Amino acid sequence: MTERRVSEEQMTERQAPGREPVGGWATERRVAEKEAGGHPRHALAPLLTAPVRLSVMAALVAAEKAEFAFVRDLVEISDSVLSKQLAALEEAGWLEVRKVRAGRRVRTWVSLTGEGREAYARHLAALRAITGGG
Amino acid sequence: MGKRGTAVGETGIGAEAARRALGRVSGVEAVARWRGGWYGRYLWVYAAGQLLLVPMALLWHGPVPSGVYGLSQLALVTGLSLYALRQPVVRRGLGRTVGAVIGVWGVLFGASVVLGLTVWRESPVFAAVAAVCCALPPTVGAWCEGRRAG
Repeated sequence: MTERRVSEEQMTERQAPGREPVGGWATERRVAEKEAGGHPRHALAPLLTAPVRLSVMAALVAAEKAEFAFVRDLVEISDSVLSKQLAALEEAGWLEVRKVRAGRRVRTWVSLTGEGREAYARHLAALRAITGGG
Repeated sequence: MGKRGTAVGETGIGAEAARRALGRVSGVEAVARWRGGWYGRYLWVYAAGQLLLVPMALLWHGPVPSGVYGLSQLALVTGLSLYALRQPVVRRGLGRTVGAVIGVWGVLFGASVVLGLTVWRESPVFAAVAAVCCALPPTVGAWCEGRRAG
C-alpha cells in the first residue's frame, strides 16, 4: 500500500500536471512499479544516504523532541552543518524545528514528523534488506 | 529526486556500506535512548523521597512538623521539576508515563493519608506500609524507564 502511494508520488513529481510524460503513461508506470518492487536499494530514501542526515534522524527517532545542541553533540557536527541538514530535512517535511523562549534563553527543539518516522523506518528496512537481514 | 525526498534513486549502496550505516544508526539511537532515560533517575529520587516523606506526614503531627513536611515536599518537587526542565531530550510517550505514575501515586498517597489519619492513627507499621506503597509507582516507573533506556 505504502509502496503504491510512493509510486504515485514519484509519478506526480516527475511530470507537470495533465501532461503525458516522455515515453507515455505505461512506461512511466512500469518504471515506478519496478522501482517500488525491485532491488531493495530502490526503497532507500536518497535524502538519508548522507550519513549525517541519517544520524540526525536516528538521534530523533526515539524522542518526542530534542534540543538542537543535544543533536549537534550526539552527531558530533558543528552548528552550521546541523542547521543545513535540518533545513533539508524540514523542507522534505520530515522534521519540525521550533524555537521556545524559556526565560532569557531561547531553546530550539527539533522533532520528527510522522512522515519522517515512516521514511526513516522504510530506509532502515531497505538497509536491512540489502545486508540480507531483513 | 523530488522535493519531498521520498523518491527512489540509484544509490548503488552495497551490503557492507548498508551494514556500516545500520551500525552507526544503532549506536546513535542507543545513546539518544539512554539520554532520554532521565525520567527514570527522576523517579528513583522521587521514590526515595516517599520513603521519608510519607511516614513524616503520618506520624509527625503539629504545626512545625507540618511546615517541615510541606517545605521538604516542595523542595523535592521543585528540585525535580528544575532537573526535568533542563533536560535536552524528551522521549516519545513520556507524557503518558508521567500521567500514569502521578495518577497512581496520587490515589495511593490520598488513601494513605486518609487511612493513616483515621483508621490507623499513629501506627508506625501502617506508616511503613504506606511509605512502601507510595514509593511503588515511581519505583516501577523508574525500573520501566531504565529498561527502555537500555
